Amino acid sequence: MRDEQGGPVLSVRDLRVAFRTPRGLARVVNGLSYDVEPGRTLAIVGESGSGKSVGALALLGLLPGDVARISGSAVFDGYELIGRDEEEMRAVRGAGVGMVFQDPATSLNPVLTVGRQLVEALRAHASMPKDVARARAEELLAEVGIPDPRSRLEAYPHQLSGGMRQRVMIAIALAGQPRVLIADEATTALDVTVQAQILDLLMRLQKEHSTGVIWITHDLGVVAGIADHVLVMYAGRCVEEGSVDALFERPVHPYTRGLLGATPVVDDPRPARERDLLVTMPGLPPDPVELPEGCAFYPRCPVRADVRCRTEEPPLASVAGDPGHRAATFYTPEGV
Amino acid sequence: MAGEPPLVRASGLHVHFPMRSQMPFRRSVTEVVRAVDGVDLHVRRGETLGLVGESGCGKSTLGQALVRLIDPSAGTVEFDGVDTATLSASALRSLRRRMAVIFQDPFASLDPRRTVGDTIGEPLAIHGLHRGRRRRRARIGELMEVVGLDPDHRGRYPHEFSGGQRQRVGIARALAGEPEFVVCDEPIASLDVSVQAQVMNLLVRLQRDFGLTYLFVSHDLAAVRQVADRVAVMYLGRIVEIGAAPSVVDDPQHPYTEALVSAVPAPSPRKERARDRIVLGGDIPSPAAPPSGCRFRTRCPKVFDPCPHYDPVLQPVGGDDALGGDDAVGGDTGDADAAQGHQAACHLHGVRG
Repeated sequence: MRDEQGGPVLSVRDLRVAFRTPRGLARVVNGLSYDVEPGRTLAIVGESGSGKSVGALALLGLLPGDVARISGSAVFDGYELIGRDEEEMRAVRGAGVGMVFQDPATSLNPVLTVGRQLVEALRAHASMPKDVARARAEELLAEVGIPDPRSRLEAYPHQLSGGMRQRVMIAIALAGQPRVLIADEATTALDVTVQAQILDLLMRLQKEHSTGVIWITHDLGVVAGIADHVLVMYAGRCVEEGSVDALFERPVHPYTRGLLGATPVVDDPRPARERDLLVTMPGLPPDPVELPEGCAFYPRCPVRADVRCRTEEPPLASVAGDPGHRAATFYTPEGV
Repeated sequence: MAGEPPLVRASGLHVHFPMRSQMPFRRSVTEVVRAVDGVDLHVRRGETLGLVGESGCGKSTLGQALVRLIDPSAGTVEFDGVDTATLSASALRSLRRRMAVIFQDPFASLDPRRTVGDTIGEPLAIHGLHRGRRRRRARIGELMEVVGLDPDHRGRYPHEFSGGQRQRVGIARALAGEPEFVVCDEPIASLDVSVQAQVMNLLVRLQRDFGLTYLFVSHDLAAVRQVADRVAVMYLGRIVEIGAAPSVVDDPQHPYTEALVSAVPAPSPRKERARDRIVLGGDIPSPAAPPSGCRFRTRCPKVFDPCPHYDPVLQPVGGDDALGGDDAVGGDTGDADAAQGHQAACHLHGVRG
């Protein structure tokens, strides 16, 4: 980690989220801890149902309070977020922590112009006269690379392409000058050339504002390109974390290794018929209502190296000789 | 393989959709979306042709036109040497048995009120195959086993299955009529990474076991590269580049393909840091009003004089050092053979249009 003044802007410790369901308690996030440093990007990687999005929504108080049980701690800038009421959270969201979600088509209000939505976001965080807010909205659109920003203020979301809508979402997220930005599958719905534009934009803005970014995704390629630190989630737990290099070059956990092996690459020069089959992990992630005893990955694990795997939950432990790299497995791969 | 006629051939294929204007009071004003706008393409027996492009480029429409799920507005589709437009309804139906489609969304493409057994058995009923209850039941069980489903689950409904399992149901249904040609239309787009790998490996195995010919339609270039023998790149209704997968993807000759390849994130931080990503400006133009001349010119980093005036056609490219300019022709070297059939529609390789 680079030496920034002061350390992390957001510290999450032992975050747990469970939902009451008719079938029983669904334990979706089971003890998650991480730090977000200013100007750095933490990538949280996982497949559907791994708890990666729920963990972020919990921080922001965006889960339905009547069914979600949240415990643990999340300290943002010295301020505990867990257990706050709606009004207190509203002050944090946007101004402290901004969000960009996957689908810009559904996160924007279809019947309001882009300008109106931006002005609302701006005035929610700071009292300013309408015309000042409007000028600032125009600046924000220009900052996120929207051509002809003044006339775009009058546009409705459906008049914009997917990439442009996602730029507007980013502009809205930046309106409150957040110190932490949570991007939840923010480029998943976009084409790769548009994704490249948005990634470029976000990395530039992050550098300019020294924003701490939590990038939630299933796409290991994107992670390799933008993350400083990576956390891999499975069944609501962190199974491995480390610097982006440690994770991709020296993965330890069988799940991480499986994910990397399952990802096709462009730059293997062999023709398709001479390539190896992709690595597959049989089966599915466990049901959060009936988490298995022992390691949650045990039922799908190709290694099962230790007698304890079935009965004991492997703790998240440091990988020998690799500072900052931790994995929750009893297995030590060869050559590591 | 050379010399054998292709299984599927499209010539001068156009698929245009008339669209009503979105403006109130002007509903009668129509514009035409040129989803597929002049495509020549063939698929060889036993190969996988990858069709890659971004949303709205017309790749799914092209795939559906090749199996006549959509009627072309102009041009022909030949299947096994027969022009499908000349066939009677009954002849077309028996030809349909030889082709199938695997759709993207296993949540939307299965009937929620039907058991998966009934869904898989539907093509059998339509084509009158494996008649008799017991025989049909046995065949459905066999198909389920082939795609890795438990035949005892034939009485279950789609909602009882995961996304990957539902896609297996869709694959079993596609295989029921024993097709020769299968259009896989974004078959892995809505699946998790580990499940994508399962489905891709399954498709590869099925092709080997049953000698299938695939059109693999996807926006995911890495997935296409993993399974396709040849790759066609589509932009705004046209094929802009086509050839053997290693030459098209590893040595792209069209500026759009180049940008596309450079934008695919690699799961390696080392490669990502070293990469020079080409970030295209602007958005894809509307397929209702494609730009004059080359359709890619409005976003092309290499645009030059002839681009707005001449519509480029596919022309042979590649070889040892194609981008630099034409050196001596490679002769009979292996490289020249490998590059054979590599074509790009770009004036950089000589103004032809």
